[in-house]
Amino acid sequence: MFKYFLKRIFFAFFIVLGIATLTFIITRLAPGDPSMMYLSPEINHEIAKQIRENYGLNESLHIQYLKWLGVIPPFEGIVQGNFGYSFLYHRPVKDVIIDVLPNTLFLTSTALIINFLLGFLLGIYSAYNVNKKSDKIISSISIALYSMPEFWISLLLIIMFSLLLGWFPSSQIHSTNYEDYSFFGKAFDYLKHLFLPILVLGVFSSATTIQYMRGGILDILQKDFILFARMKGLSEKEIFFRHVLRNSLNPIFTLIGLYFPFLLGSSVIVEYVFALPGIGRITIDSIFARDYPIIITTTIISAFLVIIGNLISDILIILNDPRQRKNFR
Amino acid sequence: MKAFIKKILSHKILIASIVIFFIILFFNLSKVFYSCLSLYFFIGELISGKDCINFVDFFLEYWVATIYLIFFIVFFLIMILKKDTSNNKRSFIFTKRIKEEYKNNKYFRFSLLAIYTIISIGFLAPFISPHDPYKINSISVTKYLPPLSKVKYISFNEYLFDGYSYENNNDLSIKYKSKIQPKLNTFYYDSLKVVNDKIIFYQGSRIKEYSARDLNLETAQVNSTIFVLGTDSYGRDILSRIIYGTRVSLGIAFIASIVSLFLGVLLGLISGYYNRLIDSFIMRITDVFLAFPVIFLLLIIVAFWGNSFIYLAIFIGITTWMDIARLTRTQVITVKKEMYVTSLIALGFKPSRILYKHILPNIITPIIVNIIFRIGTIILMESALSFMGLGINEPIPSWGSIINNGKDNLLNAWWVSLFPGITISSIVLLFNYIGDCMRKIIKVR
Repeated sequence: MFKYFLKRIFFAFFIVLGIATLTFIITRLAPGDPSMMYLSPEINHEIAKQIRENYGLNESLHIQYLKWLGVIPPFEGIVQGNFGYSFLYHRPVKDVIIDVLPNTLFLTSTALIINFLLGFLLGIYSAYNVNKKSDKIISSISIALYSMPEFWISLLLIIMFSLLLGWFPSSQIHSTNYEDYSFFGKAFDYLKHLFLPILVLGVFSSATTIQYMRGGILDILQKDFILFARMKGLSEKEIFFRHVLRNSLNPIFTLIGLYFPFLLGSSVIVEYVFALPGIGRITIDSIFARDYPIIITTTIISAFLVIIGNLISDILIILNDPRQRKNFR
Repeated sequence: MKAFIKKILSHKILIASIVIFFIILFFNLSKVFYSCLSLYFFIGELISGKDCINFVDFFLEYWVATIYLIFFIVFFLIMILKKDTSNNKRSFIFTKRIKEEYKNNKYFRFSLLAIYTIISIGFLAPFISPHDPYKINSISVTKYLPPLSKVKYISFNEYLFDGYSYENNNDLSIKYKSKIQPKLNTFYYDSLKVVNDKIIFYQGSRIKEYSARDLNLETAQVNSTIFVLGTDSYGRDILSRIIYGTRVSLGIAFIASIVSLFLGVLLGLISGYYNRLIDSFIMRITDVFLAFPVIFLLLIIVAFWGNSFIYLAIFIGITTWMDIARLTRTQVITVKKEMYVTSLIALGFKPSRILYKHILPNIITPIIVNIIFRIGTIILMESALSFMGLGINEPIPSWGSIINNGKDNLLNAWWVSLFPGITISSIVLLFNYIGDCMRKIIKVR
């Protein structure tokens, strides 16, 4: 099993390399380059040429690729941990990313926790009240929420809570007088700004978790060993915690691996609507500005997070259900 | 005779749609007639080798709408009048189950009908939509009108110089264009005054003066119109834009899902059927694509490679085939172990034939169901793209871009973003419900 994970990590590097290469190809083969951003067409071609030379865009593509990887001189590529220099922000990419990464990580991880808490509780509740009115209400609400576009929900929440009621700010991550607050004031301010985005990402994406949890528990409840446990005279509580819960968790843990790309994708949209400085926001900005280094770096980061998510879900499955070990060889 | 009438009356839905189609036909008779005529001349000019690109731009939507209208009227009439042969026909088990579900489950029936209605609305958009979704006219009056607001307008035929008339124009495209969409000078106004030979329009805070000589006064028509769902920041009718947006959003969703179905099934079949090397190669590619958050990849591709209708559809298809490939692969691996495939291999059939004729029909049902769920997701994806300004270009409406237009004035013009959002959610909900029912239908077996 240890060997399996080593193999997974080995392959993960290739996947990250593949993604980086794919992004490189997609972005660099496309017509246009960042020098177009600063220049109107009438301006002297010499200047455009100069800008391209400064950014190293005048060389042929395969040389650029190798240079970017860092395997030919001057040995300053991603292999050496150098992600390049942002055209848009005029700072090293590393600094730009480090500034915004905590926001996205906090947003997505909190959303993930809320999502799973809600999914667990409501899923279990509706599985134990199957075909009753409450179950039907939960199911229909969650399916309805699942069908709504996130950006639209975000807009509705902005109308409701920030424009009409004024409880939460509608954009940005800090208030303007953020520096004056004490530590707790700062934390409170941060949470206040992130409340609506977390609500959108966490609550409104929990519909799938609820349905999976409900379906899993209903499947298990029909199994013979539950009948046997009831026959033995175990209490419902004991049956639930000993037999039902652990058996029904596997699909949920598989979901964790799937949620990472989903949440990252949704965070792009949510960060765009709420104007939060996060990975998604700077990716969109740099896509519009053709800022190649940042685009490639953010895709590498997202791929990395996705792969870590998959590993975590595998580990959780093995910890939860030792029978699955034979699948991980 | 009585039995015949009874039989006809049993097709309630067909009759209802025929009646509605006839009503639409009746109200747009001249448009239908002239689009048929222009189609005839277009084909004629095409055959005789003349340059007639200027025909296509304007008339395409009218031709599609006309053909859709006439085809479905004829098709439904045949359906009603033909002899009932469905009982003694052998039919696919899946279709049989769908028919059963259709009979028994009223929600399923309702959602299928709703989808059919929405698709029809998309096709018949130029006949149905109450206003022109592109026309920007008298912004100071029509900007940000709330739903159900009534506006007065006056319209003149465009002034014709020196008896120059579209009737006598040699360019057929212009002649038919003016027939289908009469050239009108329309002015929306709050109040209107005639002083000497000047007409003064009071439009909100603006006052416009026109000399009577510039306007074709004999053809003046004073009227009023209602914007049912209000207008956006350029004074365009939201309802018309939603109706026209149906074509973009649903069209992209359908084409994209066909592309992703094709890619996914092809790669899944190959990797499931062949030996380790090809299989693991394709699966690694799938892993690379799966490790991208889809919207990330899509944003990059669309931003860098362009966002026309067909590009968007293909790009969305390219970024969403992975699940289908995996599903197909597992299905092929299970089916491959069965006796009939082994015997086909032993008989020496070509792999392409085994895959296409024998394996594919056995595994296609769950894939189709998966695709139906996918349509909903793709609609959401496309609307997110348009919302971020990377969808199809303005002024062509798509649901996402209408919401984007309303984003700037959320509190005072809530209707701009509210109604397209409701449309998106309800259509995705319908597709998801249909997918859910289909999944139940498969599981029964």
